[in-house]
Amino acid sequence: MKPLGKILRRDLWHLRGQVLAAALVVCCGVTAQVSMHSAYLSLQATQASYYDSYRFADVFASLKRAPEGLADEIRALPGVAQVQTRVVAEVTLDVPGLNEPATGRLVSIPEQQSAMINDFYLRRGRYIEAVHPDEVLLSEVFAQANHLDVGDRIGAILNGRWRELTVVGIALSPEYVYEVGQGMLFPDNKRFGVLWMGREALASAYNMQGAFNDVSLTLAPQGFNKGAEEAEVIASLDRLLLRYGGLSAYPRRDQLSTRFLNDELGEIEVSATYIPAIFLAVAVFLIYIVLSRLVVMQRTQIGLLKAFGYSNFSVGMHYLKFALATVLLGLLPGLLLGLYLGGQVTNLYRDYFHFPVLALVVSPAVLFWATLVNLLAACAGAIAAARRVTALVPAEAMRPEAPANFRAGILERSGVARWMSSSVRMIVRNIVRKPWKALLSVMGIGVAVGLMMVARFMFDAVDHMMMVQFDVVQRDNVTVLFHEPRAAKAVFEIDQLPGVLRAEPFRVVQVRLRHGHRSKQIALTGLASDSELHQIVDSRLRKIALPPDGLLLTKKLGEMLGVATGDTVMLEVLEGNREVREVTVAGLSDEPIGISAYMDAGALARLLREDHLISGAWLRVDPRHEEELYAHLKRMPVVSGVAIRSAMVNSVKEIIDTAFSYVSVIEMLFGAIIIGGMVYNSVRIALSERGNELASLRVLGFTQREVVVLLLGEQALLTICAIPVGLAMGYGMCAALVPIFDRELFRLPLVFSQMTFVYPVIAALISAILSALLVTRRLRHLDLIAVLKTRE
Amino acid sequence: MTHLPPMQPEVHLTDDKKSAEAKLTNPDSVFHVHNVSRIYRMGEVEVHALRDVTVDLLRGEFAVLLGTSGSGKSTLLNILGGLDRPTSGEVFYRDHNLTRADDDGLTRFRREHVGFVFQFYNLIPSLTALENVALVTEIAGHPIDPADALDLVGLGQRRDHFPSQLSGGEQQRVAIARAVAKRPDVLLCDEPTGALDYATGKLVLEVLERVNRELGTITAVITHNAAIAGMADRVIRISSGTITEVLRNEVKIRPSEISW
Repeated sequence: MKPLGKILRRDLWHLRGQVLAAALVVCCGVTAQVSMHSAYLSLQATQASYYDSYRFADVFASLKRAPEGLADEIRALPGVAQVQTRVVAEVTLDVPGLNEPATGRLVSIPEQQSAMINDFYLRRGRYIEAVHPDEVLLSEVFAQANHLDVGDRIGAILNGRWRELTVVGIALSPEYVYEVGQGMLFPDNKRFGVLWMGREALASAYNMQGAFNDVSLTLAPQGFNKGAEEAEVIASLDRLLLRYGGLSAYPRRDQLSTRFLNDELGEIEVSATYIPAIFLAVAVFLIYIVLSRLVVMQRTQIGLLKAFGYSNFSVGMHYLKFALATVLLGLLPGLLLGLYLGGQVTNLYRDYFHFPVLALVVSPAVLFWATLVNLLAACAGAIAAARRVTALVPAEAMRPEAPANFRAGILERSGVARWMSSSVRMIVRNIVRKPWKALLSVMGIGVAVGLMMVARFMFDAVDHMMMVQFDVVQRDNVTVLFHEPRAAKAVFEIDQLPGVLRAEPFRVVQVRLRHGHRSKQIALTGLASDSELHQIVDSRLRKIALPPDGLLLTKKLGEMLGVATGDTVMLEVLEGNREVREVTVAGLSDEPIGISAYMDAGALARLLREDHLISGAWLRVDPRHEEELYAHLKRMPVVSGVAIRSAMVNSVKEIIDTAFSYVSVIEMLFGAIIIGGMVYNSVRIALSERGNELASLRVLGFTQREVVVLLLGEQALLTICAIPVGLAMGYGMCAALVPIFDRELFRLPLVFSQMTFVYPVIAALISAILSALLVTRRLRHLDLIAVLKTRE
Repeated sequence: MTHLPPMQPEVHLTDDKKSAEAKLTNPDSVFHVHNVSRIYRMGEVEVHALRDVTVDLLRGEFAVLLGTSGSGKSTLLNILGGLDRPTSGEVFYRDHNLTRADDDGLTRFRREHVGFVFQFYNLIPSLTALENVALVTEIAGHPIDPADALDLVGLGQRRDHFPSQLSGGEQQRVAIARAVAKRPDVLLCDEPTGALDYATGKLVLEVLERVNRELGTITAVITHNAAIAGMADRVIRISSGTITEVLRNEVKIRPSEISW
């Protein structure tokens, strides 16, 4: 081995603690980078191939009812490739072993299996047979959640008639990768599921023979300008479906499951960029400070090597190799850990996103980039430090370094220093002497505190979202939806059910709101102005009175339409006689989930020119009679869907607890490693720089404890400064995330629980204290005698 | 070249245990080193740094421990200062047995009774001259005012300077001021002029002499510079871990008269 190689090996061994700390930070960064990028790629690649292989449609529309012949007209539209018409119906299910009624979406499939748009993957069992109209295929997640399998039976009310459906197969579809019902944010797989049923069987149950109420199509692949073509097809489709009660057609990206999936992909992309970047920056800093110190300690050796004729380059390379070795030490386990964790994250995704196969994609490109970026980081840290090497003149280098330069500064001139004890003065002056290093330390620890805060903030935001949506806005225990609008007196029927304490009717109607060139299809809810079970609130959660006339829109919807209070919008009813009216926006409300529009029930009835029809009811239920109520609701022919708040909330909480805790534990751990690495390295360097000073003090009669205070004081002060800085940075990072999560589906509120501030602070302090203590052990072995003889 | 004042052999202690016993009762004895050996193990080699040394330091004296590099003089100083423990034998400071003290006991001993002056001064770079002195007086029982201590070494004017703004000699004088400011019973100096040029070295020796004269602090200076021996009350010569000779100077010369 060459002499420099030996020196390198010894240096690495000698500084193993600091090398390890820096390597650990690199390891975390690489782990984060590889795992998130791999998970991202896995999800993205799987999505693309799934959509492609199973011919997922490009455009979707639902309508009231159209004759099958219309399909040919749709097929004839320019730009359309394939068309699939279906019958889709939502029904109440009586699932064995489940007390509450569940909601099933029945989707028609041809009696004879053939390749089709929106095809599905049959996991187990067989295809339905035309001779058995009650045979269905069941979505895999719903089956899993309810422990159902091929051969099991499910009760269902199809168009008012009780039917017993037989599960013959378990299937998955690209349409339901994320399987949630309309208006739901998190999946509740126990209570919402998709069932595929023979077209004839389903059509005859709903009097839809020779007709359809759902259409999807694929676009011809030739167009240059796919966006424009798609918009044109959608517009033509809307025109065709207008007469048949068509709701706005929408492109694939607006399809619910796709949107969730794309949103998630967007989120990983953001996290996969900024989290590794933080680690990279910290790693560069750590390598820089370790190397800078090494260069100072080895100035004699550097001088000697240069005197012997080693070039600046070869000596500089020596330190670069040191940095590269440090990074490699973290890189290799980081790559492996990243792949492992990427697999774990992909596993977690399996709970939400359902593909026939979702396996980790091990991409050489991801590994390559992670390696390259981190090696470049090593070079950056090394080059910054190695500049000192080239600056050293051999003769000068071989002389000991002059005593650390301190001069009177602001502290002394202002007289503040006089009021400090000697130890405080030493600590403060050491910080003031190297302000940039201090600043970077503070920023490094701060950003880690921020990272931990972001991890906690996600919990808070979702908690708050749920609280606002389900405690403040939706105050009902159970929501019941009817098949079709019913006379107002239907609510009395519901009111009579066991356990119902209060029943409030509401009317929901699909409308399109237009303002200028912007338009949005939305479910407009008409409710009583004195509603107790549904409250409309402003951003400070104060109740907003429902105006006697005009619309109340949620803020997000207002933004999307570009309207403010007092503006007018065109309201087009997408049902019945399709009234089109100009309506005033009477106010904006604030809800974290979804987008809504409200109107006074009376005003809505006048607008629709109908006599107080209702679409469903919100119920307050006596918990003692819940089960009895559920048993009734399961069998009520008029009911098409039942939403149970507690079940939904619990299901969400379960999801948050499993997925979010996993991620947040890792983020907390990573944050703690950054802090540990920063503090450990800073203290080790302080010990190296000031070991002599501290040993002198021990000789002069200072106790172990007094010397520890001097050593750790500086870092303690920096850590304490870093905490408010970190909390501020964390606040900033969360605030930066809020616009990213400002979506139609949900909006993260910028709210924090106390614990979100407390946890990172505690974790930072514990991590700082533990790593500092690791160094102070070394103080006990300070060589007091050597100090009498050696010169720094 | 060496300018040595006449010396008289006083007593050979190395192999005379009875006289060592007698010394214990010497009313002027402040330190009593009794049959002390110190063996370092360096790998497989045993180094006998001190062999069976017995010696006293007396009240108010200025002692020079003279020896070549590796003679064991530093080891003796370290043991006297409570920085090291003998492998065998005992060390008494007044009626305290330092050999039995634990680390805390030794720290307290150093804190309360010993002033150290290092070859390389070892000032705290982040503290001014005055603050370096105050650092020690803050933890002392009955200290001299730090400013007075700096006046004593002639650096009253430089009190607000940081070590990097002081010359080597000035730094060493600050170190002396720091060492004496807590009114130690003994001032232990390890090659105090070793890193200084001739003139500055003499200036430092003058300060040491003045401190010894004015404050009556026992001063033990270890050096390999035989010329310094002339200013001592007693000269203790060490060679190969044993005390070869203890001389009492009949006439002490002033540091300004020393030359080397």
